[in-house]
Amino acid sequence: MDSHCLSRRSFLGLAPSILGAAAVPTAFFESVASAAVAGRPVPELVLSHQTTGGEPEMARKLSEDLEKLGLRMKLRPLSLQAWLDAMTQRTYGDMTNRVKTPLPQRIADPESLLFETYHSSQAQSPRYNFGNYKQPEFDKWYELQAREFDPKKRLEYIGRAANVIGADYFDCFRGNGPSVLHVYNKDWTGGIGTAGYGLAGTAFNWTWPLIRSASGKRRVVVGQPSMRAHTNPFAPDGWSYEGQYVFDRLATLDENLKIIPWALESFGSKDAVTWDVVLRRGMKWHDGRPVTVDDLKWTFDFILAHKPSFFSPVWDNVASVTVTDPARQAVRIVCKQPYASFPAAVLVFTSLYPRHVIEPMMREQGVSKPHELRFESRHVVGSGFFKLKRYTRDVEMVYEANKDHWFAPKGVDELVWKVVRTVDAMMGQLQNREIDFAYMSFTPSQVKELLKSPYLAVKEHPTTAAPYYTFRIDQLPWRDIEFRKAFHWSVDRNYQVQVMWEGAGRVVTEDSVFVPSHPFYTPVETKHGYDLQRARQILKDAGYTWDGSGRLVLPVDGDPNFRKRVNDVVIQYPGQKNLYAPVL
Amino acid sequence: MGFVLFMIATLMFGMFVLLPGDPAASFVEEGLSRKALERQRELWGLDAPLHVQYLRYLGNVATLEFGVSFRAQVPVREVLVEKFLNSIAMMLPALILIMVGGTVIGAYLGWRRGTAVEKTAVLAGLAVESMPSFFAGIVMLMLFSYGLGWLPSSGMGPSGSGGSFVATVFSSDFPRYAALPVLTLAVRGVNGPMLLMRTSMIEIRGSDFLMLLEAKGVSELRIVRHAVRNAILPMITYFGVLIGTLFQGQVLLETVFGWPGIGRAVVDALAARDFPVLQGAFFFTAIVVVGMNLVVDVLYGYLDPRVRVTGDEVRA
Repeated sequence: MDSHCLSRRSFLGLAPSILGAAAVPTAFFESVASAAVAGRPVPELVLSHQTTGGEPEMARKLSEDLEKLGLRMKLRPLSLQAWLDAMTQRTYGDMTNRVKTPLPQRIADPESLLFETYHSSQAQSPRYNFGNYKQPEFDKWYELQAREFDPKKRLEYIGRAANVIGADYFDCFRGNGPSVLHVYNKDWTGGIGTAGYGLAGTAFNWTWPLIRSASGKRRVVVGQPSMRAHTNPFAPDGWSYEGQYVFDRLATLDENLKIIPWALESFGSKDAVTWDVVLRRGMKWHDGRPVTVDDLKWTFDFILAHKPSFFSPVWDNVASVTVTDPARQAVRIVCKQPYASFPAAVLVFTSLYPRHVIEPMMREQGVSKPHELRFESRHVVGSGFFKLKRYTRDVEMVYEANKDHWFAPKGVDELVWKVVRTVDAMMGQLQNREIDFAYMSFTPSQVKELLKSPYLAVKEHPTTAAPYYTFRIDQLPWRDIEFRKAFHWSVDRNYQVQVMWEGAGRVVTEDSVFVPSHPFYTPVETKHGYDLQRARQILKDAGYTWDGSGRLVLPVDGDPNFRKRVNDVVIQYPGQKNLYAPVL
Repeated sequence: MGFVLFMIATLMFGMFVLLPGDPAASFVEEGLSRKALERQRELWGLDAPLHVQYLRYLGNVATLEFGVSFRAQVPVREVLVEKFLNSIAMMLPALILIMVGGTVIGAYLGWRRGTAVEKTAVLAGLAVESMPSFFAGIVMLMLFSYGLGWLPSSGMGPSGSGGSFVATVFSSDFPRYAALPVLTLAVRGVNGPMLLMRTSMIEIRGSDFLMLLEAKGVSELRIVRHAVRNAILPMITYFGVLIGTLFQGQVLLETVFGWPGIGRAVVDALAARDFPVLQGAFFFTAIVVVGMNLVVDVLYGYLDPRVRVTGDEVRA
């Protein structure tokens, strides 16, 4: 036998290694998590970051700055999928980047953002509190706001919760941006942009029913980089944006992100768990049938019965739905627990669906789960201000104006959403007027190029997005608040805004979960900036030293202040084994 | 062939298991609760043990039913047929141009070896082929669409026109929309068969039978015709390879020209971890490639008696 060939025995011997390779991603990431020891140099810090949105360049800049403090970094660029895995499995190492963009459906309410990202019950894999942050003070304010129906008091509690996070130097915010820069053919006027989503978005967009063409065009074409591959409103992604043109939401957001009734005439709470809603009168489905209170009740019952994944989290707290006054079209919803975010979480999130279409569809198609329903264009019957005329997967979605709607588009007969995959193509098609609007935010230099065309104009809107770094607060050196504080003073936010976003953004000086364009923004008292000298001084004052080669060394085991700072965190993790040497 | 396909199917399953990323996380928007994610995994059967998922998958492969696309919410077969047809609508004209153009030009260059035309054509062919397809596509767009405004920049038809595949392909607008992607593909692709045919012609050119024809006073055109008939055999193999490429689609060109073909669909499915579509597309491509290899082998034996395997040889 050739000596280079593997014998059967040796091949079998390799099997565990081969099988082990299957677990490489997890095992590999686990092995690189920092294992800091008091009195020794801070180990190489691992930053797992995404490869889009200028993250690699920001990571490089951070690494360069931290090196001046005696820290070494290992940068690990990850694809979106690998990054998501690393986040949920907590295998991202020491820190990672993230962008906080509140969901448009719930933008007016901070409920999910606070709970998912910061509540202690979410501080474990695979939940979304990726830094494993546990802070009873935060939990207290969160729970108070969840039960508070007075808007002013609620805002105050939310502000306090945000201030707890800020004072803890947990997430490190890098800026508020980039601004939404939407370019369009200026033949079209009258569009109204929405804060955070711009002029040509699909979420809560007021532009399409309001615009008019100066040259008398009745068809508007909008380019967007990708499109939902189906029109099933019960699918996991809920066809949530475009679908609202067809299926009226019960409530919606105005251009300032305030909740307003939409398919409802009114809504209000009787007590902490009871909500009364009244259906708008005179509504019709696209097939001409009237929308009745039974349709509203049936929509609620259908969602409660089937719990499509898109709706289930927000509907879990709903106990019962009853028609209280058929003549007034009034319905009462009783929740299991106080639900202050009910209007944003449930009403803005839920559309009206036609029983007379959905039930026969389920029978005919023989499916028991709504997400399995197959929606042809003819099945997409709603009551919204646009009717779905034609849908060609991954190519275009064509809507026609519903002239019977109380908010019927006046200047548009047909709205075409067209897939334009690349930035180059989007720019080219705007310039040669193949499309009228682009649902894509351009950079300032791209806008400059586009505005060379005499046909184009730009509108800028503030964004609600805010990128930040989050770290494993349950392990050293991040357990030490002084280290986190020093880190906050080491991040060049000006570089983020001026270089990465070409000035189209806002430099932040606080770790505010909600940016100023968000209705629940509250100023955070703890401020910071970019000052490496100050960062060094913070570390020095906290007992950190530097070894002969200039590497940062953790305070020694016997340092009582260090013990106290770290112990304060350990108390929050009673079941967790110490990750470092000192027995505290 | 069955064993090869079984191994391909199994390897594909293994690859998807190793692939980082949770399909449910791609669909359920970030910011919705973990509960929504878990519910979706349960609905898609992704919460089942791996061996159960594997057996289900093998069952699907055996019946050529790959289930329902996570992303499109319709049977995978429907997605694949739609996308393959779109790709073929772009690739088929390009394939014809490539094969006919490559054969004719290659034969001419091989016959005129050493001339300035031959040297220039080979150099130009290599230069064009070395250009990345997306770059070539963007150059074509800048020139003929955004610059001169002669041809539309993307899609298979005008915005809002819609319609079935047949209606789209046979519409009067289709040639204008297909022109740029087809030309880009053809210009880049013609070099391969051209060089192959040229080499084959050069080899044939010194053959005794051609000298005999020349000695008999047969016209040059007839001699070339005889030469081409003998030199064309390697093109059969090349054709088989090209057919395989046809079924893989052209990801970059489809993206640049906004063409809703299979290449782009596979990339979208990969980004969204739409495993049923990926498994279906890869398996179908594997069948085509393996099948084409078989067809080419059989055809080769038929066209060239020298490579034919006789019954005696098999028994020996």
